[in-house]
Amino acid sequence: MSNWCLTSHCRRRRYDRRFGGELAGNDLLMGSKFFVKKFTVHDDPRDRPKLMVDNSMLRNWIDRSLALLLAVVGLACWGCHAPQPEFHLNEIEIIEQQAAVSEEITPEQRDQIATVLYAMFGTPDAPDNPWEREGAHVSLLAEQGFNVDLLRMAAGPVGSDEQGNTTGLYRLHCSHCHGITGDGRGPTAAFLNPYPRDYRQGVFKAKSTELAAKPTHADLKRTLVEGFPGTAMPSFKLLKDIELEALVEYVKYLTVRGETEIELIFLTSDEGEVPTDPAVLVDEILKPRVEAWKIAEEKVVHPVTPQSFASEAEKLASIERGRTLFYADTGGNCASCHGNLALGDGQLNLYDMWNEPIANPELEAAFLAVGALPPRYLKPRNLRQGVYRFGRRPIDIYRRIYVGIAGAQMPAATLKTSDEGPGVSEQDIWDIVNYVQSLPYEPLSLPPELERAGLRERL
Amino acid sequence: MGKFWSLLFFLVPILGTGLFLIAANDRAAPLVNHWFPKDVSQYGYVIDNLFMLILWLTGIVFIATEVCLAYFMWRYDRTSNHDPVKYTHGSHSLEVVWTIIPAATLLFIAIYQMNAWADTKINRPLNPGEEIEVNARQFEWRLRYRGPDGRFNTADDLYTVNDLHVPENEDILIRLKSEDVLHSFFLPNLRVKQDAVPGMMIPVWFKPTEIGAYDLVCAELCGWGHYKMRGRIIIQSRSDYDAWLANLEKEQNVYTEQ
Amino acid sequence: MKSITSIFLCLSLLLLVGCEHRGGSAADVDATEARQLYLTLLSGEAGADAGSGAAQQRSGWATIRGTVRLDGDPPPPKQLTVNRDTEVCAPGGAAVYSQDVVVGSADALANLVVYARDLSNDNVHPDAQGDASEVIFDQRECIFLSHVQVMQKTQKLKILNSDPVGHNTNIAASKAGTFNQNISPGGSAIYQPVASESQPAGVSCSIHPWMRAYVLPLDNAYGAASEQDGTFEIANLPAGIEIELQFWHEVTGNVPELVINGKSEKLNRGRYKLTLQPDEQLVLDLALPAATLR
Repeated sequence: MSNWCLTSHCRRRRYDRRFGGELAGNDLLMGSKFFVKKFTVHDDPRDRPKLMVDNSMLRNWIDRSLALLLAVVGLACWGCHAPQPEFHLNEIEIIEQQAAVSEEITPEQRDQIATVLYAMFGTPDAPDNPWEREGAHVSLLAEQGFNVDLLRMAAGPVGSDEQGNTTGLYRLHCSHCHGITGDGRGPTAAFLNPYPRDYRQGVFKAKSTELAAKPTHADLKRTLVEGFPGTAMPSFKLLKDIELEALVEYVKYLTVRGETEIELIFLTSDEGEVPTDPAVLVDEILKPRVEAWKIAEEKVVHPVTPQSFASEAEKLASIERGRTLFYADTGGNCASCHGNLALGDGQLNLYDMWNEPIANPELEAAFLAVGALPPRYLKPRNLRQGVYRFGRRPIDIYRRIYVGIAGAQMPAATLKTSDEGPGVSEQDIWDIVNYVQSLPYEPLSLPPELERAGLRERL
Repeated sequence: MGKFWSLLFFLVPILGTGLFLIAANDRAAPLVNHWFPKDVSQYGYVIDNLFMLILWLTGIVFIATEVCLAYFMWRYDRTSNHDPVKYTHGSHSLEVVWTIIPAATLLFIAIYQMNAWADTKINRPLNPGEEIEVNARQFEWRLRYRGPDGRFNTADDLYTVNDLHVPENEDILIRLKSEDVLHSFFLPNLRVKQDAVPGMMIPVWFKPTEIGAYDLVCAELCGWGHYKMRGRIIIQSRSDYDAWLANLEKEQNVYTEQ
Repeated sequence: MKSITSIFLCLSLLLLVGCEHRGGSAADVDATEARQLYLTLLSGEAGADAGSGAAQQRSGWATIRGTVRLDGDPPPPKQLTVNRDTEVCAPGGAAVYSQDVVVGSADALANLVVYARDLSNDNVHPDAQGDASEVIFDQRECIFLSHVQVMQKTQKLKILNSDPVGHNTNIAASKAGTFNQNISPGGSAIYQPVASESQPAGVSCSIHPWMRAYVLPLDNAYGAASEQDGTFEIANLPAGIEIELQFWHEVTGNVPELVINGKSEKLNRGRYKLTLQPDEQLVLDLALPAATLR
């Protein structure tokens, strides 16, 4: 602020400096020197320049500063003016499909796909009906059974409604990582390992249902409440119940939208034109995908009741049986991926279903160019850490073994068809659960008689 | 303009004093609970007293300095004061005085607070009523209880997240850890604030005295989601707390549903 | 003044740069068209006309049989990396090769899939639908014995394991339902598709990642993969209506080009239309140009 001149002298010197060039060098330094000189040399008060506020000068400065400030703010606002958030096309699917049928999806078809999706699923601000103000009062998504009040609460910019409920919940809590489109490519996604879930395939790992089924409503809610330890997904336990409900509904909406989009892209490349027939769009594409969520409840896997243990010795015996099954080819065969010490180092070069398409050597560059994240190998879980992403309850671990993990490589156990046959019985799965739960507390170096045969030699 | 600047600067001590007067009674409008959140810990008053002591010390010095500043500006305004400027080359005794007084004050504070420091950082309770592991991570608080056997790192440990329950009127010992970056475990109502450092287990203790739900927040900018790293501490009676623990244990040992 | 201005300008430029939003995928929505479509979707008439399109009249049944040859030199076989359970999967340390291109004697090309697309159920012979039998899908020496398995969606795929090591069978179907299960040595599992697929779905084993096969569940029996000797047969096809055949091979995906009865055809998306006469026994002599496999 050395340029802030209040005295006529100072002004003159500035004038001199600028036009006469008598003083040169650093502004700051010159300014301070100048002041020191004035007040130390001129001892005689009459000789001293009169201290007064030069009003016109000050006003001038204020005006200029204000103008500059306005200009900067204006520029900043212009620069930061975020475009209206919008859904992005699934470029990865487009590239994949184009490669699969060797036919290009034309720019007109892309526009058409976006238009169909807009008609069916609206915008991130108005998911169910962007034309409500224009008199279209029925909502397609409401007809299909979506709770549009909840959808509206989750969609749109962050704010609050008349009742004081927070709105725009998805953008407040989720879109940083999962992206506006639910593509798992929000701004923070690249920094996370594992990457955030891409909802558009409609596949979720954490669920109580069969492999090919959707998770139940309660499953998604539990994911929000508990988070996934071991990943970047935090807990949203303290949100209000209605907020959780809204987010669950919105995730379902993004899922159905994403699956519809994938189907549209497939049909476009497969048949050469974008389907616009309402019968196809609603009855063949939309309805089954909404239905899949509704019937998830019927697909829940219910474990058999485990044997109860009368003594600690019986529990230890169960753990021992579980240990045998864990390593046996004819049992769980868990060690083939989770490793001979259950450290998760058995199979290290596989991908999950989200990373696998990207890891296509011929197309990877094209995928990365449209914003795909570099593919990462899927790591089998290190079972000795005691971190269970999808829940640490015995029933959660049972379901992982019984069902497998959708989208990942974890298979379901082979169920015995007869008492003698290969595979495991449902009670055997409980033994494996007991063993897995004991692993974090078991020392790595076991007495030789407990080690898997040949382990020492292999290692 | 005349004495404009001196009057302007005189506003600072006036407003400052006014603020003190209003704030001193923070139960009344307009500053209800804006001064300090309600203290619900046994030891919180010591921290508050220390805070108040330092506030009084610095407050008095601040106001005195501002009054002096305003006075000098008034007295020696160039429009009314035509006395020639006098220069001195310092006063030894004055310098000694203004060095010794702050030094003595600082020393006094250092000694006066020693017990508070020791009680909150060194003398950890020998028989805490409850011991809880708090594992901070981006962006949540993962909590672990000892379970029925009363020991950590056994198969019956109980896990929960963001929802810290503690019994009332018992010494609570927190084992504070961080999984990723620096966080800070802040219980405003219990006057507890402690950084969590990755790779360290830092003990934190307090004794809650009043049943209720209070904030648990992160007080160290830990990443883009720092603001959402908000939990809750629920102070319960021993019996409620035991019931809650039992329920947590039940929830964690679900084998079948229906 | 100058310096302040330049600092401010630099700052605002920085802001501009910092705030620049990465453009998303560019697709222009036609809002008017979207609104019209939205109203059509809402009108409740959706599906009213579905299926009532004047279907051509079928006049009988016919059969297609044929052989597939590879026209030209086959590409060099790809050796697979067998790094696990080698005593079972690569007995005697022998090299294991990919089965993506299997050429038999006289250039016979196996595993080329031929199937009829989009036939309404009225035009499907009663014998060609609703089969509920089991199809055996075995694996031995870490090789799926049926490299491309064509089946009806009503059939059950019985997955076996004739190896002394454990496998898992991971079927990445998009519509027929995903499946991923351990198959213990000597064990078995049943895969029941819930719908048909429009393209063969990949089958893999996570334990032995080099293992690869395909399963194609269809609505009817109008599909076949060429055998080791290159032959295939599809019986009881509807005659008198236009049929669209789809040709697929693992390496090419939809076959882009095929010599059909001596005539070279460029196939759009691997498809070929023909109309059969009642009781016709059409013989298709197919040759896949080797260049398409590179």
